Amino acid sequence: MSYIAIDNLSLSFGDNKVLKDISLTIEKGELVTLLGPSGCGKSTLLRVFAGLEVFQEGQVFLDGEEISNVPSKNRNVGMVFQSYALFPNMTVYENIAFGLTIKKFSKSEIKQKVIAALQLVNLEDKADFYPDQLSGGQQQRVSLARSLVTEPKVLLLDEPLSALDAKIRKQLQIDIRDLQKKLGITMIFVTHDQEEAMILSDRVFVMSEGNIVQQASPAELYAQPKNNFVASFIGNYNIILADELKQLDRTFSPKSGSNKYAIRSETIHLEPIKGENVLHFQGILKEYTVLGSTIRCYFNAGAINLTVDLLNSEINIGELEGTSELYINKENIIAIDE
Amino acid sequence: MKTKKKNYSSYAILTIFSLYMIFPFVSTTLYAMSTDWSKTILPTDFTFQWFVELIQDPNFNSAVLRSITLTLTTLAVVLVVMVPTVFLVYMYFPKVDSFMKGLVLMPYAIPGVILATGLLRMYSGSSIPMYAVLVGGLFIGSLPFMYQGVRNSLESIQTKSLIEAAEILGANKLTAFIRIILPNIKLGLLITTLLIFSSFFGEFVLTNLLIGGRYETIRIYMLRRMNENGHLASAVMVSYFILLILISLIITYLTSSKRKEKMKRKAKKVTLKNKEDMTITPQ
Amino acid sequence: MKRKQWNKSILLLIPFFLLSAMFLIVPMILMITSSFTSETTGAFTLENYQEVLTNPFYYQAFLNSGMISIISSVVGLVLAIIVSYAMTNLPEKIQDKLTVYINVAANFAGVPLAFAFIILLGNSGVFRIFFENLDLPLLSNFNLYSWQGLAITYLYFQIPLGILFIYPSLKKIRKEWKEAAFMLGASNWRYWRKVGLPSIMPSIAGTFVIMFANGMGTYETAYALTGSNINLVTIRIAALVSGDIYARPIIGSTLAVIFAIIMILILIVSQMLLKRVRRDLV
Repeated sequence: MSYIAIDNLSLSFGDNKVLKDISLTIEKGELVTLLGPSGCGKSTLLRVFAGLEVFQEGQVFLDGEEISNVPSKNRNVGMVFQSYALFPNMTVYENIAFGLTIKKFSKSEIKQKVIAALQLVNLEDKADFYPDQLSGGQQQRVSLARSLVTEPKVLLLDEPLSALDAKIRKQLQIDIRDLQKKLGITMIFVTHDQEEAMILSDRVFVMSEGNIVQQASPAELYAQPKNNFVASFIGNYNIILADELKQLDRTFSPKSGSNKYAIRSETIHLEPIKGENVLHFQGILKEYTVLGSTIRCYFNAGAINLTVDLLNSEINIGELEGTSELYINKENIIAIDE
Repeated sequence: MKTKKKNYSSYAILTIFSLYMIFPFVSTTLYAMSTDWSKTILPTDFTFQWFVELIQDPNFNSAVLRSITLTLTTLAVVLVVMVPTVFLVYMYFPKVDSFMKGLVLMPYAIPGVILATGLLRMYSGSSIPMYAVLVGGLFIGSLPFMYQGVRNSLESIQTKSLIEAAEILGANKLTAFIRIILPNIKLGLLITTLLIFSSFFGEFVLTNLLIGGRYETIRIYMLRRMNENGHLASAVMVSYFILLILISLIITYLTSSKRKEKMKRKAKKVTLKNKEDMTITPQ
Repeated sequence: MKRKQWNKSILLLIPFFLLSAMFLIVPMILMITSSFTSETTGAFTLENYQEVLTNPFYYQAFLNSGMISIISSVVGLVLAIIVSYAMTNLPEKIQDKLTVYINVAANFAGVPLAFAFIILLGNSGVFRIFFENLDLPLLSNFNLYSWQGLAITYLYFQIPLGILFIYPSLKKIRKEWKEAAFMLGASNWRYWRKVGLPSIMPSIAGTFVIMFANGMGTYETAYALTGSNINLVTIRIAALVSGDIYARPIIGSTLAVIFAIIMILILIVSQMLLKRVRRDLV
């Protein structure tokens, strides 16, 4: 049996169905993310693990036990909040020690554990500071230490980095991943940022309107989006109908039953590709933006608008309104669900 | 400049307004410090005799004592009942919460006189002592302030996520409330308490209608002396104001120290931010 | 959690509900029922209402209270707006200090206020002597113990009360709005008519209702100034329920019920009007 499992869980607030018959499993030591736009139910699902939401149908298992009716305080899970939720009346030391004092550890044990936790997040020198004397990044690290020090069975993170500056966010993403690997702890991470999900996770659950629409490793998710929603949420996909592809190149033969296709913007090329399996057509350059190492070009091919990402140094993209030859390897044309 | 001119008229308006507001205070003070002030624009003499007489009057001292007893008794009931109630309602009973929001307008819809009528209807001649009824009536009268005050404090510290964090760390609701919520709303609670203290201390309507002369509080004493000796009554009022002003000064001091502390911490934070390095090195 | 867990903590709300029932809800219900019982037989009757509504003495009480409240709140409101506007033009620090003192002044009512006004405007008041010395008959017809005198006395606590509500809403009018309006070529007058006034209109109306209700409910100041000599609703009710000679608690209850209905109606109607005003202005 899996370390964490949810069976057929449904939850509604009044008439509003927030989670619709969700099932999932998570293995010990995994870091998974719940990814989706705001309002998709990802935070609510996380709070179900924490015992903070009342649900109507289904079961929750942790480490072989059903915990559906176990109150939060007895679940032995850890949680990191977007708003940090540090106790303002307590110092960093007291915040981290709080969970241990509740569990009635001896004073010397508490001291030893808290110091270890402070070292883990590199905040030894801030032990006597109050939360509002710290920066956002530091506060969130205290929060991490506070949750880890009680050695929870699973650590839940509810958009922990959303309130932070981009630079600090990037660093903490790496730090969290390192910590997780080092401690071998199971983590469930909620985010609306697909890039963050890709960097951090072993597996990603993409959620939309209370359903899990796809679960996959980051690489798989990127290469094989299951449907329109995932494709457009994950990256720069061109979503094209089978008929339109036929108009571009008559040699294209649709796979059975698939009407919609996704083409990643960096798999369309301006120079010929060798091999049999290539779609070849012409497009007019309408606009382009320099993004740094890549250039994003917008082509019109007949009635179809295509976004194409090219390496900045790779090739001369030509003039605006000029016609270019475009090539796609057919392997990169991915059939998706509606 | 056009704006400068506007400021002059603003200052003029506020000066007139302040004078108007201060006049009654000044005249009462002057009256309390003179023996004769009836035919002249300013009093003809200056004395502290009324204050001395006041302190020596056992009735005054017992009136003060009664007011303090009544105020403290009622405050104790209000705090013990309302702090947990507002907390629970805010956290777990949103329906009751929206009902209680309506309470805020209650003193305007049901003035003290109407409340007193109902209370007399129910309790006059009953075995429940009127003193207890008075405490109950004052409790009802303080509900709007208490509800607003406690609720604002709870909102300002993000009570919901703090409680959730504490529960996930293994604390039960009572521990979380005592160790985390109470210490953080302490100051706001103190300010609310002082505000209610001054309103209870000067209470008249319910006290006069429910118990009247049988329980002479400071305001009722004031009214009785006003009809006997105006100068002495003025001395009571002046002492009463000094107390009220002291309380308001404490409130302003507390409010500003709350703000100052935040600013001090923020200032510290700015210097810290420069030093911040974000790496966590695994040991 | 699959089950709702907090059913136990609702027990902790019992003291609150018990106290509210004992000292608010049940007394109010008793007051209402007793207004429908006969003073002599104790049976159900409408005669109390008939008496109250036909007796010009009670009718006059409502009228007097209403007059004093309307005058003191209209004048008080206008002055409160002027003072609040002047306040917003001052440096932040002075504004903060002023609000504290205005808070104190709003609480300066009742016995001390009445006495201060007796010293200033009473039969041998300072101003009276002052004007007499100047041979100006300004105050010779003025009687502090009449309803005009009461209205002027009420004004003293109505203005600060008005400021407490108007000033924050004036502060909310963003400087940026004004600047944006001027950049679009609006005149000062046009700005106030189209943007400034509509945005504070609801709070002006709401403040008026609160001031009016406050005036209607005032008892202590009037009682301290005139005893039971002036015919006001609050004074009348108090005399009927606790007076020694004329105590008629059931008639007092009837008056109180009518009074409460009027106050609640005013609050409800004003809330509804405010919603409409807001919609019309947006």
